[in-house]
Amino acid sequence: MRRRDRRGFTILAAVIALAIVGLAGVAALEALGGELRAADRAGSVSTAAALAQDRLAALTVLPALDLSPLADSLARGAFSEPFADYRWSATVRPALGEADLYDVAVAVAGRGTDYTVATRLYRPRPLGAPP
Amino acid sequence: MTLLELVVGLTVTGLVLTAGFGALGVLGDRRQAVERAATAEARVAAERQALVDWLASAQLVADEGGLEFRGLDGVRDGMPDDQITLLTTALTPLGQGDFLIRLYVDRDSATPEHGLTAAFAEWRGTAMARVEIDPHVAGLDLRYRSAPLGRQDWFPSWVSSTLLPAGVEIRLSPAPGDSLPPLLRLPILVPLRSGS
Repeated sequence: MRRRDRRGFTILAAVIALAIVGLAGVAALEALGGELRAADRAGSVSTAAALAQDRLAALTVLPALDLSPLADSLARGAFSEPFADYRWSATVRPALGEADLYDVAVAVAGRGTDYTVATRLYRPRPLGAPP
Repeated sequence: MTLLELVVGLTVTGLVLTAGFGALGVLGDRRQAVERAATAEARVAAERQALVDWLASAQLVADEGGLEFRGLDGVRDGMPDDQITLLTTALTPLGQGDFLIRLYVDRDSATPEHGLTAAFAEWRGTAMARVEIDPHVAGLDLRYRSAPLGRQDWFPSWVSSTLLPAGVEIRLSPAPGDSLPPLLRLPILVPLRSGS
């Protein structure tokens, strides 16, 4: 009876072994890449949050007459360097049907991140101001 | 397996391992850079938020001889050298309660703090603390938004025991030749909850 030669690896075994090592390597690199993207995104979110808070603060100090209707320059725009990748938009709407209560929201988008911050402001109009 | 197959197999394995280690090295360097950047951004965002919290919770005291909100305008060596002192009810390094906070740029080489510094003192108490916020800040420029005459405007200083401004804007600048993180170069606008 002819015996099969069992010495060493066949080329097929070597290819399979290399494929397994390659797959494991690709998986490890993908995991590392994912971690990097997550860390990068976390940094972008921190920046977007700070920028959104800043725009919201700019609206918060406005008097009622400037708050509604909101001027175009306050409603949307882009940040200057080094944040030129980020854009913002703001909306102000009367809240709960009240004349002096406003829902204010600011959205900041950029570098793959969207961040929105909102608040409710009470801004009584001066006596004699148009409704 | 022939010798040729073995040589080819070893060569391919070597190339794959070299490429893999190269990629790992690049990713490792990139990871360190990203972690450093993320840590720095988180630290600066926390510094901004602390400043916002302390100033937004500014209060006045109605008692006779009560504390003033004192925002002083100054220039030193061509750099803005403002400082502000106020009573805050925000959480501070001394805890929660009523604390006097003074925000200024410390240029005294004899003190352990340098740059933007916050000094805290317990109101009606003795506890004190100083916190170095950012040592690279060399200039502090503050302005105050209010509408005392009906029209909103910015004022370079604000000293009052009866009226708080509607908001405070903080601009920080580095020493010549130095730089600040981007988020600290962005002006910090703080609406005061009790402001008008």
